[in-house]
Amino acid sequence: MKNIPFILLFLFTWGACSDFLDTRAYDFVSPEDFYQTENDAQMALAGVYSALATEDVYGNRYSCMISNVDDLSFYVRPSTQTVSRVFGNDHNTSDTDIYNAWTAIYKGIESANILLERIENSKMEETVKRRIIGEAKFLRAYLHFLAVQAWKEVPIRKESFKDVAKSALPSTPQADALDWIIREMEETLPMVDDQAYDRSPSHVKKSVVEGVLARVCLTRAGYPTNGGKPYFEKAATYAKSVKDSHKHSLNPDVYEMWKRMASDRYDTQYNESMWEVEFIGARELDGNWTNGRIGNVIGNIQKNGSTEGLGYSYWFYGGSLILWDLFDSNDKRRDLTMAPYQINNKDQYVYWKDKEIVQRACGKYRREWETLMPRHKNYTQENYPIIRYADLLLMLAEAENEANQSPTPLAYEAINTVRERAGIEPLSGLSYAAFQQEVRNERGRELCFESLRRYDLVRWGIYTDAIQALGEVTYDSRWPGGSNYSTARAFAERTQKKHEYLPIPLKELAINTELKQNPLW
Amino acid sequence: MKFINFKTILIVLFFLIPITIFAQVSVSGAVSDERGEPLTGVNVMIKGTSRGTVTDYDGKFTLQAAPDDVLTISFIGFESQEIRVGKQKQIKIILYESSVQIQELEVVAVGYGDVRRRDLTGSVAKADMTEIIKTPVNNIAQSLGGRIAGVQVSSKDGGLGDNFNITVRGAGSLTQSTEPLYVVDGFPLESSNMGSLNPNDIASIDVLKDASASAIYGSRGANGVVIITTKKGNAGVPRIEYNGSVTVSNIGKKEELLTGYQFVELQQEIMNEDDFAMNYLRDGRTLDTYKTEPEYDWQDAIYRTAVTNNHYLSLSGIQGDLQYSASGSYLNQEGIIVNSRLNKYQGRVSLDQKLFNNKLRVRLISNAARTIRNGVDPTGGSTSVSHALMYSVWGYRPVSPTGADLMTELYDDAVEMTEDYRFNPVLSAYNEMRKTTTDNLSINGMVDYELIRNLRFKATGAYQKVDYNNEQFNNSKTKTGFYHDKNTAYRGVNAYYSLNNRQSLVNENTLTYQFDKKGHHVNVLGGVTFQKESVYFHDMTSTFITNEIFEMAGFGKSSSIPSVGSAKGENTLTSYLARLNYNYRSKYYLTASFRADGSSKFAPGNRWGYFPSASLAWAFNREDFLKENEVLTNGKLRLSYGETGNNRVGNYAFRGKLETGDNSFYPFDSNKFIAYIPTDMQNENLKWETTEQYNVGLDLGFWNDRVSIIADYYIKNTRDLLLEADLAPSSGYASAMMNIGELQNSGFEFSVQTVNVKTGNFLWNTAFNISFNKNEITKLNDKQIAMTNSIYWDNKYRTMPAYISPIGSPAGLMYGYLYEGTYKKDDFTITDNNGTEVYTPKEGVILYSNESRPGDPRYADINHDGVINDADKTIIGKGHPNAIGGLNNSFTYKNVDFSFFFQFSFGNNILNANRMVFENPAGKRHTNMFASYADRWTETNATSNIPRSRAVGSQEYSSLYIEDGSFIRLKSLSLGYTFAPQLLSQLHIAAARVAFSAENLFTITSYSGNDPEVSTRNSVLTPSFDWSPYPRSRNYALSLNITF
Repeated sequence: MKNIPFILLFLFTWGACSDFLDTRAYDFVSPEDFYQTENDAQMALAGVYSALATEDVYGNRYSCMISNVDDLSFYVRPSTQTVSRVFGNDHNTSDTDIYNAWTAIYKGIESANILLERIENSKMEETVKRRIIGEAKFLRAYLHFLAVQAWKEVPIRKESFKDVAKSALPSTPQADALDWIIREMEETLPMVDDQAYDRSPSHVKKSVVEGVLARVCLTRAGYPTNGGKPYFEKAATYAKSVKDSHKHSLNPDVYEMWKRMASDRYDTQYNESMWEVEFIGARELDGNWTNGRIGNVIGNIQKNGSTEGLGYSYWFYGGSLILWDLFDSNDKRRDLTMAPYQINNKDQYVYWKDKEIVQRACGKYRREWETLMPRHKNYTQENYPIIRYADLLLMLAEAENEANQSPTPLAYEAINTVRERAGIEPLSGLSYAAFQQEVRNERGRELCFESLRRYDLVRWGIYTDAIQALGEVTYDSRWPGGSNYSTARAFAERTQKKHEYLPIPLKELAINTELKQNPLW
Repeated sequence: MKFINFKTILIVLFFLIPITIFAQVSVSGAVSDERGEPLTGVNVMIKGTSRGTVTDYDGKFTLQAAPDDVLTISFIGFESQEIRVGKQKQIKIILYESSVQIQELEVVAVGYGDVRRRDLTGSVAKADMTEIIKTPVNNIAQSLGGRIAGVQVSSKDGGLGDNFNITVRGAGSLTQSTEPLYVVDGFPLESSNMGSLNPNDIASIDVLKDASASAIYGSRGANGVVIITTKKGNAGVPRIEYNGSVTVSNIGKKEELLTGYQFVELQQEIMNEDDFAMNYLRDGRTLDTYKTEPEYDWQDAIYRTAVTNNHYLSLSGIQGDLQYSASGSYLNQEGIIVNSRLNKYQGRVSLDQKLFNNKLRVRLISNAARTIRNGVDPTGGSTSVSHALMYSVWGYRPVSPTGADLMTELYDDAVEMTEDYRFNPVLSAYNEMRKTTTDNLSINGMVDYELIRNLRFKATGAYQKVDYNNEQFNNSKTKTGFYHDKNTAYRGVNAYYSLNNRQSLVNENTLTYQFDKKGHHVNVLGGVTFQKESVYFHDMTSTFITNEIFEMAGFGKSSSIPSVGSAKGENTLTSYLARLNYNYRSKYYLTASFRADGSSKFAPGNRWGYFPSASLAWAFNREDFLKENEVLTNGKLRLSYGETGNNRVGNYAFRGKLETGDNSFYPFDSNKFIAYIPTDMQNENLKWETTEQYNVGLDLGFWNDRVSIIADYYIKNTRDLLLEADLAPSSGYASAMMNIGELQNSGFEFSVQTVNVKTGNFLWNTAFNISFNKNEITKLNDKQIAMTNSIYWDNKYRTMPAYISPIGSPAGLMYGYLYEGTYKKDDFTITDNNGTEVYTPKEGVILYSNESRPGDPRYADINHDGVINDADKTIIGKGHPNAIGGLNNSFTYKNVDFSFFFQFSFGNNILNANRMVFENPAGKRHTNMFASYADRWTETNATSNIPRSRAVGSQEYSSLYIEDGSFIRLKSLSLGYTFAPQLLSQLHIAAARVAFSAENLFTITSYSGNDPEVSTRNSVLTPSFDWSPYPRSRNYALSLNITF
């Protein structure tokens, strides 16, 4: 009987409780345990916004590498460094930067989808819930728009991803996709905020939704979906609605908005910047790890890499001669856009000679304007504009002219507001075609280096022609020698019709068997 | 040989002694083997009579004998002994195994018990420990390669430490670990822990290969099971053993590089005239002066002759019912790259106490080890090839055109620092502090109690703790620590620290019942086990530390804010197991087992997996018709079927995850606002992966096992493969853990051991094994026809597929263009357009790019569509070998022993990425190339098929860089001398042996790199990739073994 203890022990362990297999999670939360409170929902919404603030989207890849090389802006490095790269129009279907941007955009969409599906059960004030839903829904549509304008035909993910075995989804034709985006954004109009966020370009609010709707409508109106008049009208309506709200205006000083954007100070007086992507901090230097390289990859030439100086910039993007020639010498925006000096490694200002034109780097983002110290060499506090009031006015001008096939007084009013601020003569008495050209040029002068030009060229149906013109202007005697500058020519020579849109990443096609590669790729 | 001599002397002595008759008394005794294990069934006879008995289950016997009687104790596989009864009433007899090991009687660990090889029904292989430890090794895994059929041991390169990967019978998984389950003294571990054990402490290593053997480990047996048993105290007087060795290592094979002159010539080709003159023709230099300029040999500067010291001391013995052993070891190993080093301190205690007349056994084993590794990992870095150490070693300029001493400068001034991150490699090796410390502690306790006769209860409790510390420090003379306005990696003086703590607790309880009746032998096992594993990880990074004298104490003494991370998790496993071993007259065998496992890694509905197995064996040599056969002395046919599982997934694999952290926030209105982001999707359907395996085996022994053969054929089908499968990125996730896909491994294993010569003085044994494995993917994700994998070794190649694993083919095939040589001038019509040459391809010549010119690489247009694009990529190589194996020969002549061991591998290719960089400058300046690049295409060497120096389209994976990786290597060789006991007895030394041994003496291979065993990005899907490896060394050792 002395064996009894052993037998008991054996039986005891045999009948061990089933709880043993229920382990708890320590370093993450499950979606089913989340979205309980308003705070949870806010943090989930911040998660959706943060998709924009990744290096893959507005921090660098989508905003700069993919979207900021066009006829006015070129990549200032020897052309060997643009071989196989998207900013050299020499990419292939397995390009890493394109893949990263694609992946990050859809990650944001998934974030939004999960939030939209789960928020219903959370306990919070209904008005707040409605606002959060509105913002998330808008962001989901906006992220889809980023995909459509760059890749043309993409899958629309309307619900969160649930069955791992079925990740394939066919693309939606571009016109249908844009129509869906428009509808979605319109649905959020009554949901998003129309007051509290008026002075904060951080948040999506009614004027932002309307402004972005104007942009989507213009895209839908133009090449290649050619929706035409009804969409121009719609674009005009939304743009006008923003104008009439009187919530935004142009800052009389063309530099001011950019200086504020570089230093995390909002211009609450004029509210010119309607919506911008927020970046803060200096990573390990102050513990704020955002992924913005604005001012560092794109920006004026600055060569002091220490943490205590004015900052370092690679100035990969420079203005072309076409851009320079768009400006009158008295246009206040010229020296804003193509900075007349560089800053050397001792933080001294070195001015360009008059004939040194193409040497001038993009001047809208200047690290010298940052206020944060110490400075991280590669990551900056500079925000990036998504939509600002000047763009809205020019969209209004363009939409009015296109919808009526001639410039309306409202069109003149809109474009001239922008021109006056820049210190150039107002326009009057132009034909439809002349006005169209003026709007296009004005958009170039006002909005270059803002990830818009490339898509403008495509929707106007003149992308390859415009890039060819860039190639030609490199033969101009004012175009400097030196390998950094010959890149523009190599870029133009490589550019073909297929470059209007990006190829769908190979990794997507390998799994998503329902999807077809863009026809020219 | 000494046994034979001793025995002869004894016999002669006994014959000389006159036999006197005394009154008979009752004599009892116990027979055990050297390890103190009781031997059952031993014949104890009174010499010259037919009286005698056999020992019982506890090795005991009793018989009537007179004091003058001589007992003859004999047992198959052991040296017979004769003992005069004298006045003894209790006789303890220790039998020594016969010097020629009879395989039949070998004890083989099968998990939760041992069986003799003759009773084995499954496929279990045993490592020959005596051969293996002839060469001093620091990690036993290192020596297993090629020794056991069906077991592949690979390491990514020749680096220091515990980086060995064991695969049993082919890769059973695609994305998850293919490591077998390791069971050390009963403690199951999913990753190798062999580095913490001293090879001298290991008594045996058994590998369970087929499902009937491994199914008792159920959910974790699918990749095979390696059972390691450590030594207990040996019989007899306390024994002190010392093992020491000194090893000298050097580089086996350096890369040949361009000479200084050839290098400058190449620069002239790459650069325009002005740049060239500015860079290389300073101070009156011409191209020709470089024929006599002093040159740097960076390889000589980074490699060294390394010395390793190894000491091992143990004390063991038996005191009454206590078997004890304690040992300690110290290792100081230098790597052949300067400033790399491995130190190991290890200690071990084993106590085994028998109580209550052997009814209760209590065993305690504890092992503690600290391993410290210092030195850079040459393969590190993924965003740019120029981060890798060997890039700097091979690529650094061999000449200094400015006259500055490159050896003392931190960086090469001429190199554009924003694109090429090379750094003086010698200074890197000395100044980048990279230190990992692994502390390993295990404590195993076991009680074994005989409840009633033949029914034993056994309970074990074990605890293991592994702390893995990683320390990195970069001072101002390192790549990230030196200031330069173009140094993009600049972080100031910086430090990194991480601690990974892993703990496991195991409790296993089994009941064993066994009986023999009328030839029926039955052994039944039942049990229940519990296991819990927890991990805790945290790390810190600090940059811009204000003063480098602080070193690792600099956290918090920096102008920046340290970033920290942490992770924590746990998993649990509960199992029920049962096994029946049955045989009838040791002729017909049946083994059946069943295990049920529940794992916390799966959702409640899918937690439990059930794993049955069965096997049959027929020992046909014991049948009457073969019983007397003198040629065939062993013959057994084995058949088995079983299912095993795999749960090597993350702790919370089925759960959806939202994560937040330092990085996850959105700065609304410039204020940090915490964000939660979905990172993993939920998959409640996730469940066990199951492998069913069929095995047929044949064991044959001839002429009393002078020749013994083991042959096995198996088919392993894995279904519900746990796969980190790619998802369409548009789903929001790059990949997810799924049960998709099916995989088959089938193969044949053959091993033969022979005793070629056996005379009084001379013994020659040979062991040979070879195994063939064929791996085939039979099913993948819905509609998916292949998995492609890229290697992240440079941003350029990050998403470019380098490997493909298609359905119907083995995993890990190399993928790229078929190289067709270079374009030649004949391929173009060259016309003149205002002074610039215009190249128009001739009819039928397909250009890779419009910019392709003579000397550029030409790829096959596989689909004949007139363009070279992704659709022309194809399978260009095979990453896994067709056959692996080894051949060992050992000779003993009097006191001298000699053995040598060849390891071989056939049929795999290697993707030599080193050549993609160093035979392919692609216009990159100031970068040295391999010597083979001297034969590149130039205007004057226009027939060459090595692309020109500014080649267009050379940044592709192609068959140009695929090489045959087959090899035969003289892996080890040893020559030893054992001193005669007579010489030593005066010094109180029981035994002594000195030996010389060597490793990796030569390799027969056509592979152009340092080492054909390389696989620097080793995984099932990306095998045999060679980029910037730590070279494998050639080692020479002197060792001394003394037993007191």
